[in-house]
Amino acid sequence: MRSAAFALLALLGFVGPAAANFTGPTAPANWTVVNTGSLIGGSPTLGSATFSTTQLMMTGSNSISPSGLSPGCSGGFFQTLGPCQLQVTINTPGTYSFSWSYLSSDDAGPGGDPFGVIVDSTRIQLSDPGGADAQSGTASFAASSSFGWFVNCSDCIGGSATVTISQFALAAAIPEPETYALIIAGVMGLAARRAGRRRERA
Amino acid sequence: MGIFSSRRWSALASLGVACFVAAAVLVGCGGGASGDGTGAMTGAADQSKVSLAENDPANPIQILSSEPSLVSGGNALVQVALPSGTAASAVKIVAAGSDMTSRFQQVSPGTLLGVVQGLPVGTSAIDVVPAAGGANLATVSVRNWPIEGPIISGPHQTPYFCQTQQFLLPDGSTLGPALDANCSVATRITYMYRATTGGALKSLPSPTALPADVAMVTTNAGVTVPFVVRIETGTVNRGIYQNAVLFDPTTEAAPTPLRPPKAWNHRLVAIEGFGCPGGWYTQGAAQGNLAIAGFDFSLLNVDRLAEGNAMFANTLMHASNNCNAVLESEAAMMSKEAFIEEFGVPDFTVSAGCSGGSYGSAQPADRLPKLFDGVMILCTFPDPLSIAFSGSDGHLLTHLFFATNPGVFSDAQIAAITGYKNVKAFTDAANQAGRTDPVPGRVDYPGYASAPFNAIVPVGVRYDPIANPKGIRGTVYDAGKNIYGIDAATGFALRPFDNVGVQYGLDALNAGVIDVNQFILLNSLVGGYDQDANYVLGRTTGDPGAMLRAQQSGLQLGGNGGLASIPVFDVSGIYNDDAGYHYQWFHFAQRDRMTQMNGNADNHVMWRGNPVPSAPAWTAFIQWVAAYKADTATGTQREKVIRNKPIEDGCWNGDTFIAERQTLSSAPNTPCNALFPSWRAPRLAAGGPVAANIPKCDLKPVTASDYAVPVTAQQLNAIRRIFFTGVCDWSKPGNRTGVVPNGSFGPSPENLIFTNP
Repeated sequence: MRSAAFALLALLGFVGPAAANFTGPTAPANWTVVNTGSLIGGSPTLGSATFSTTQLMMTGSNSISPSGLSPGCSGGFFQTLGPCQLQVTINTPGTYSFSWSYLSSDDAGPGGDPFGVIVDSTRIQLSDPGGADAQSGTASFAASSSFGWFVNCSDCIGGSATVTISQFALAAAIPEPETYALIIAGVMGLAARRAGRRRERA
Repeated sequence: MGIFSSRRWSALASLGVACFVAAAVLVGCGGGASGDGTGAMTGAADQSKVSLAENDPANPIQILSSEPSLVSGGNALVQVALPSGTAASAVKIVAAGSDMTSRFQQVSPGTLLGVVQGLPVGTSAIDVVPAAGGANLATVSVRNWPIEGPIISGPHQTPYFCQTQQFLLPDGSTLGPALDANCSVATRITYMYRATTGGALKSLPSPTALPADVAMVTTNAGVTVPFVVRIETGTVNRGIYQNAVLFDPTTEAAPTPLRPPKAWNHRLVAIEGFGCPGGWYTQGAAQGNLAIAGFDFSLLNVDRLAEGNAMFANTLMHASNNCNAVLESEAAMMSKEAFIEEFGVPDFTVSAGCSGGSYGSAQPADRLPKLFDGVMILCTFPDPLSIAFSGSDGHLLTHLFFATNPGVFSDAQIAAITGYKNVKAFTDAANQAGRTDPVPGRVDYPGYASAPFNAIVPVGVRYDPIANPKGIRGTVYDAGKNIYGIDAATGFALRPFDNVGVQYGLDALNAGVIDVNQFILLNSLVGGYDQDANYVLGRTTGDPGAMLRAQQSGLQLGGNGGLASIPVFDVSGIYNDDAGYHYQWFHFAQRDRMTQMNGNADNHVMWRGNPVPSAPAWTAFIQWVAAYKADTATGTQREKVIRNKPIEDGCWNGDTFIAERQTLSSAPNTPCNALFPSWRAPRLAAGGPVAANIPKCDLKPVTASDYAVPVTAQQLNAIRRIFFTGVCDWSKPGNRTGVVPNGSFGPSPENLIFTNP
């Protein structure tokens, strides 16, 4: 019985911190870095991501408008979450906490390069399009399947944005109440089986 | 209808019969420009030499029931002016080779009148020939079309669902099953009468004996008759056609143009309808009878009938059955022709209606300048397109305000951005975009209804992007695909909605109701639609051809066609800018279009009230029409209309009339505006004209001077990036054109504007 209780505690311990910073399960190698969409402007510069163990620095894409002020991204429009974005994602459920620091160099301000998170494939914008060029904050999101960040370049002209992620931590997924019930039932079943065997031996 | 007067013939007659012959062909006499001098025409007409578009006023043969090129059903009412001194017995009238002389009578010295019958489909000639034989004395070419159409509206809409079995006659019976795929029925006559006790009309028990309780009535022409109404029901242009007029079957022979009902005052009133969503693919199970705000626009309106007016209607003139004004005008044209061939030419024809009946009156009047001699409009919209366009603007905004960015804008800001009085007024109007949305069952803002269909249209034939992508699409655009054109890739109607360069909320920004960042957010995220009315990120670029033809056809009311030269009396009808989308700005939009196109709108009068008293309104309207029609002095028709105008703008405060030029204002800056303040719509609040008749605006670069509030360089960059092709320059006319009068979309080749490949 003591061993069963130990097992239960171990399982419950599953909710504890699984990773801090970009190490272990969240080491850089476990993230996928992709530039989506198609830049159609001149001198295209694709977005980039640079990891250290404590920080992730992302810079969005940019190009020169093909004509006047027309978008440099196919299907992109100013200040909309269009198809062109740098995204850094990981397929691990859990609760993600981090600090972010955003700086726009877009001549039309932060509306030109929205930044945010991708939680289970859904984009959630964190930067304020009408805010200052430099913005920052802390955030926490629970993801059931995947998580990531994006720096969208909307129309992808006029300059890009740079985002630094720090104080990153992943808490592994917290089981649902039903899961707890199953675990406890399983442990109790295991204990009962062991007890039965002991009685048989006796 | 141009009628060749006997006075005019007298002048020509002095030049002899040879000139008679030449006049028929060479348009004029005494120096024909070319030709062999005989000009005699026999048999099939030579279309290369003769325009059929209009009666040639120099021709002694005049087609009175329609234009010569637009005859339908094989019949035509024809007037022949004989040479001075020529006896009627000295000529024969031959139509497509058949002798029709016996159908003609001399109605005045030297003038014969009769209905020719049996004209074949296609072009043929009506000839006046010497009874003793010899060369034609005169000839006119006519082009006859099937009674089921089409003539000018393009190919028949398919599928098309007959509703003769649902259509109720006044006596409670139905028309029974249709006889063919064109939904035809045999014409039938029913009689109703009014009892001495008043009330609704009752079915006449027998056409051979009047009931003891029949009321007597004296028309406004002073004729006293039993109040018995003859109602004729048949099919014209695949719609169910009806006319009604006082007529005593116990004493009068069947009416003809030579023997019209004695109580008919020779005035004809068109009954239009209402609605629009769902007005496609159906014949219609009812006429557009509507009683509202003290007015009764019904085929069997006892007041109108008692005055001696004849009434006519066609289910395809009712917007709830047909929301394509080109088809509607065709149905009205053919129905009026059928009436004339049976009863004779009215002194004048007017149309009146509310809501769908307002544009049901105005659009055909503008498209076909000879169709109506005056229109009285209530609950006014210039056209269904103005509802669709303003609804589409609004629908994009509801999506932004309530779905993608809830809470960003306050209710007061939403009202200011959209131009409406309040959020309810805005969303009610925005939900009218449902009539442009072909996707069934779309879940959107409460009250939004996509793909509205008449219940008679089976679900299985309706478009569904997944389950039935080749199905029929229930949208105002697809109902008019003969005009808008067809996208070759999809088969869908091309779409005229365009919002490139529209600075939504511009007035709200300049008034300080929203800030610059809200303005930027609004305009960057408002987006547009794809062909299925799905939301898309970018603005919508309308199809250039669809936008052009929307105007040429009159689907977007021009105001420069027939409306330029007839009385247009706007009588408010509904005053409610709080909800329901029948808003005041539409009234002013129509008037502004007329002003833009014609220099002024002096032939337009607006009375506002809640409601306007109906009796003085109708009386004033008819007085106006009668007065200008009776004006034989020199002047254009427009000049006559204006100089005979008996009324001016004003509003009604209960029973008190306040004479005042009506203006669009939400401020209580005049007595009438204090009583009836008026708000606007999103594109007007974006700086656009009240006329709302520029489908695609001209663009100009973004400049800081456009804004009455401080805008930073970065914000200006943002605005420029949103409007990377520029912003609307409303000082320019954009692609505004106007209607092409008598425009055809086939098969009639006269004034042909467009046919789909």
